[in-house]
Amino acid sequence: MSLRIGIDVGSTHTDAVIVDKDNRLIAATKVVTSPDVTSGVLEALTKIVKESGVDPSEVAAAMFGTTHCLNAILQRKDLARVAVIRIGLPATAAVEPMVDWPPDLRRAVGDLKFLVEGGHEYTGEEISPLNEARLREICREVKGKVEAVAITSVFSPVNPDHEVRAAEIVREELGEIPVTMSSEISTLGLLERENSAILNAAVTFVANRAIQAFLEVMRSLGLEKAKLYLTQNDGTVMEAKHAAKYPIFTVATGATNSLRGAQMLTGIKDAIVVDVGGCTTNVGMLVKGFPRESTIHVEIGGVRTNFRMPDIFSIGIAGGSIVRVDDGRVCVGPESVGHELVKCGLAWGGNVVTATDVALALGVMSIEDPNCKPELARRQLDPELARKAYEIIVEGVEYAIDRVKTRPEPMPVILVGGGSLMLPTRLRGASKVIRPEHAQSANAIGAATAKTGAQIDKAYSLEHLSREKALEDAKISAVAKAVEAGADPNTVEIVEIEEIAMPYLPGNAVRIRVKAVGEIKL
Amino acid sequence: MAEKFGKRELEDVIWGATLLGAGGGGSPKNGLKLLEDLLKASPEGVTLISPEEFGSEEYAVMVAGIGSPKVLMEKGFGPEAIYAFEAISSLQALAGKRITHLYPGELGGFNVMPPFYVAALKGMPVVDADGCGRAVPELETTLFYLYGIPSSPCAMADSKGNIVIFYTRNPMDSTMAENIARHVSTAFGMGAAFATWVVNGEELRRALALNTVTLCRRVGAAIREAKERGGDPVRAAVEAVGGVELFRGKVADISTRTVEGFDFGRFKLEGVGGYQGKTLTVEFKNENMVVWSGEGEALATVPDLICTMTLNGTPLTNADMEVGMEIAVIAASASEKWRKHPEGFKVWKHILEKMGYTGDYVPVK
Repeated sequence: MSLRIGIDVGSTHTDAVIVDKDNRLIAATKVVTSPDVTSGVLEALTKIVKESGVDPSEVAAAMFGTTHCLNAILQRKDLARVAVIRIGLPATAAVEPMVDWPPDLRRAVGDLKFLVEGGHEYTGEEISPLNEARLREICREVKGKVEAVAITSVFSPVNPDHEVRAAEIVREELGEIPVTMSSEISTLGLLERENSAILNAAVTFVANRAIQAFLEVMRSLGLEKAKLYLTQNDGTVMEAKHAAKYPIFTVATGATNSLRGAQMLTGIKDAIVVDVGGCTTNVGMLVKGFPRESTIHVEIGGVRTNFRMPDIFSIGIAGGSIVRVDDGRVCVGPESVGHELVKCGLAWGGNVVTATDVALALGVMSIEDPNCKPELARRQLDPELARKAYEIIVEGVEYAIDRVKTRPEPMPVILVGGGSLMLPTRLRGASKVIRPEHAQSANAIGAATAKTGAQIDKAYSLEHLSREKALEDAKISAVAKAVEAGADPNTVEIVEIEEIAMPYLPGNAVRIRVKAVGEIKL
Repeated sequence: MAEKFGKRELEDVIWGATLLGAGGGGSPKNGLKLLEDLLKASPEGVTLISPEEFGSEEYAVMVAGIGSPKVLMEKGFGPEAIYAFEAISSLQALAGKRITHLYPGELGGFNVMPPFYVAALKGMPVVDADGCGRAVPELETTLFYLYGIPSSPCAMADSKGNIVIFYTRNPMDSTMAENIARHVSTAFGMGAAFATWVVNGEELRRALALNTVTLCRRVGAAIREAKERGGDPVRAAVEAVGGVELFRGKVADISTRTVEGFDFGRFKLEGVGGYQGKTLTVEFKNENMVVWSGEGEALATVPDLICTMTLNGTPLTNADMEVGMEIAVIAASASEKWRKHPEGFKVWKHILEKMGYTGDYVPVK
């Protein structure tokens, strides 16, 4: 009972690995990502269990990094219809919920929105009492018309009481329906927090279905004792039942799994990670072993959100990027042949010039694939064109490194991902370039070796509360959340505390963000 | 000449005002939210008239938000501005002054918008002028103070419709007015609107910075057009404001502290492109006050405008600046109203001295 399976869904490939209790790699495989995602994941899982020959009863945990929720939002497919309830009247009436959403996405979640009296001031005092009678009326109005509810109350990150009470009322009226409270998803900024809560509620459907599908196949493969985890945006994992409540925290896991994997494979905790895939290259930064997070609002599917996301810079230059000449100018990407590289690429007898062909022709990389013939690329590619294209590739990556780097001093750069072999071992801005063994499976290794974690981001008014009490409260909430997400309470530690002063507010209002991480509880 | 300002024009105004806010003036994000709402009430926009068209027997008032941007982000903004406007209008009507126009108190990504919002809902025009020609940190650093436009009486309101009207013993006592306003806004949950500085046409032309809304629009449009045609938005902005480019660099450090509700701080840049190897430091109190070269020379000071934008063309407030961003620093001449007044620099000196600057005004050429 000591093995772990890690699976990571990328845009072109779905990777799977098995690691032992010392995080040593036992087996690795990859399949082409399927359009529905699920069947590709199941294929990868089946393949790795069968090919590795491990005893299924020895597998203690399976960690999935999947794009189900992100795809559902981007493609406006399989989204739950959501009753959007904002508690804040008479304030907040100026801007309606979902006002700046793309109309197709708004329609896909049902476009049912309601404003109710209630909410709090920044001090935590009530603006007006929660209008419970109106809430019950709304529930009766939406009964049978929605599959989820999102509740957002003014200043709930300071005082969530009205959200909690409203959720109770909703459950009394509508029974067991997924209810998202905005204060559990993100922080100050009503519209962005409300958007984040609505998206979370909207993907509960698709997340639950994916989890059920994963569990079924795990059972059929004899992985009955293995616990199921989903990887989340900050590089940690959460238990399936927790993930079912907070599925929005899984939308950016592809990039974070690679970063965590790079850390595992090298032992380096502070570095730039360059993850070269088939269509895009993602560049991010590891700070104390975890992906650095973005402090600005991130748009998902055209909607402004404010929950924590990794700070990733992506460029459309990767292994499958198409190289062409436009008006005498050499261009690389963003169009890509994706997983068709092994059919269309010059070195595989095809007729599309790709970034990989350029690297093969210049002799900077080699690929262990009997069907790959570098001489085919070398013969057909003009050396001048190849040299120029390679320059563009390297410059693009160096630009991305510079964008991610906040300090002028050079930093270690770790190269991972299937396409990373094409990059040189010297890059501008890098103190050293490391390409660890198993770099092509870094994403799945990151998933398999992840710890469990959670973070909270709350606002406190220090008028009636000491700073120490506020910090203590924030830490206790973060630890409780981590345990709820599946961490072993004895191993949970606080890995990050951030205090953010809130300008112009008297009485010393602060935001406190705490991240707690622990070993998974098996 | 009267002109209708619709969505496109007002978006340009917001971005231009963000640049001319010189580091402060509120978040353009909140300005854009208010614009969305304004357009729902009045889809064709708001009429802007030139200062010359505004009669000496007519009266205009300024409406602005007061409080914390964090509160604005939670509770939104709108009804309080209408309540404050209505309160000051009824009060002035008793004195025989009928308010028929609005104008912005200062330029800034948010602060330029409340008068347009009220104007849209009340069907009134906005006059092409403002009380600072930039954004400012204190009531004392306004043209109102410099040219003797009293801040009393002042009406304040919250979104529930609670209203406070106050008078100061000395109508020009801006320190007391500011003190009262801060306490009232605390009682209003740090999100409120205030309306004051009623002026007629003669006073407006004598005391205010003129044609500044159209200036914001030109600057915003120049930046947008440069981006659309793939040009250099920084150069376009410099040309539109008639200023000088001081620096291009990467934000290496930002240090801030909040003192009595103000953001004090400095940010340091490390040069990129033609500025490689050089550094630049800017000191701010909400708005940018003084720029130091790497050699310790003051390159520009208030009341001139020390403006920032990202190299890819987004005007920036200090609250939105982050370490790692690549930005340009642009200096622009303050309004003639500042430069010609003998006290135009003196009212800023107490702030500059706190930052260790004791020298004279360094005018932008």
